[in-house]
Amino acid sequence: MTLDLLQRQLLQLVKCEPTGPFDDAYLNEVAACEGLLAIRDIARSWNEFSVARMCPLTCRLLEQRGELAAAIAALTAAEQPSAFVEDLAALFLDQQVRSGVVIVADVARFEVAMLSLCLGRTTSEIVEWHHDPDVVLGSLAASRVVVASPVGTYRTVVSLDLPGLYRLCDPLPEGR
Amino acid sequence: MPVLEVSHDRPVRPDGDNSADRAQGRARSAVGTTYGGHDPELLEAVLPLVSYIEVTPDTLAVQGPDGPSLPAHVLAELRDISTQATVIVHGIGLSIGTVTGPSTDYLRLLDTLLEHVDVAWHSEHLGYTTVDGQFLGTMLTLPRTDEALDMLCPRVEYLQNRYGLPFLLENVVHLLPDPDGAYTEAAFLNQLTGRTGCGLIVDAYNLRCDAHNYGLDIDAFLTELHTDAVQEVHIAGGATRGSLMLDVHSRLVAPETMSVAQAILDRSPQVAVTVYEVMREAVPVLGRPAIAAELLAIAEGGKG
Repeated sequence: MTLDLLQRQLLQLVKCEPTGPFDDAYLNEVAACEGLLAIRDIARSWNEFSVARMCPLTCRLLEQRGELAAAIAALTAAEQPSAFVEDLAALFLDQQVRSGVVIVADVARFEVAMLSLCLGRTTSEIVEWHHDPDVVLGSLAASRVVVASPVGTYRTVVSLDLPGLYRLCDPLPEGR
Repeated sequence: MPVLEVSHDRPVRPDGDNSADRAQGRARSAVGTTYGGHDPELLEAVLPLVSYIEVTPDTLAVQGPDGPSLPAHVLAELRDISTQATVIVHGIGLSIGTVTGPSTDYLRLLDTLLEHVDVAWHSEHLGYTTVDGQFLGTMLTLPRTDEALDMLCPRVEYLQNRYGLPFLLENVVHLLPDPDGAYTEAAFLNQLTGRTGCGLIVDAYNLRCDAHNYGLDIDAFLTELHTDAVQEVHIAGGATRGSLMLDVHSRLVAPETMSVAQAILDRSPQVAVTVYEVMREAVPVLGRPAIAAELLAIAEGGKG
């Protein structure tokens, strides 16, 4: 096996559950070894540690909902463009924005904006919500279980100029 | 066997000159440690105790829309450190063993760092972290084949020419079984150093992991290795998972690791420094005083 092919095969094994048996005896040996499981565990642990630091609100919400482990597993299996935590956090938040769970997507969008602010990529941004952000963010900040308010349309402005970096905008008119 | 034995009436020489000790039949080196940035308390605790500070560009960098970069305040801190200790660079993200090519982002970081900070040498792990532009989430070793050597040697030579600084490669822990190779562990490293003139970092803890996990004979490895190429020794403490020892630099150094480090030093006349590696995330857990005490114990030969 060429080095190129070997590396591609090992990438698949590290990223995914093995789909063997393989034609190659060495790949079968790798697929069955304890070290492969350890490598996956290490990657999962690092990813969880990193996103918990970079995206604490989304992680806390997912943990409350019992969905954090699955989210980390999905993140670890995804194509990661780099080892940088900023890239990892962006990928994780993007996955959550696309999760289809409205409240999770709301919080993830808010943390995307906060991350952009902290990394100097923007100075101000509007984030739209489907639940009252004061209730959601207040609960998460206090580590209380989030009880979603009735669905509505809300907006927060995220800005370096604001104390606390965000504020709730005036409610939008009905039917917006 | 004495552990990094240092007589208590003579401090470790900051220049790492151990000729007198070697004449007395014991080898020693200067001591260094890792610095991951953003931790002036740690710096304050360790700088009086070490002669070398090891920094990793990847962990100091911030990712931006134009790729990763080293912020001005990070460079300023490193410049300040370089007035008090010798700075050495130890990369993680070069991924020198990736078939499709090493990381150009890492090289840009290194360009910036070397432009702004005096560095004695730079180094990388002999492995790879990316494949096809994807981050593996770990570091894997290369098969010990001529194909791998033919890929690596021109890259090492390129790095040596590009920066005009000594370049060292470090042995990496094997967590996966090795594919069939043409060389033993030591013979592969001998080929690399012989063909390129690069130096080596031998990580004593990694050797212990390999011995524990898949039966590496450390004594045979060191006997076969051309130890004149070894310029730096690493020591660390790590974790276990099931029956495996893992290369996670999260703990103090075990006496057994110190014994391996001493065995390396005893055979390697060119070693300038022994670096105690602690990952940034472990610093608050271990505590800065404990890290400082560990460095003092290492320097005074009180470990083990």
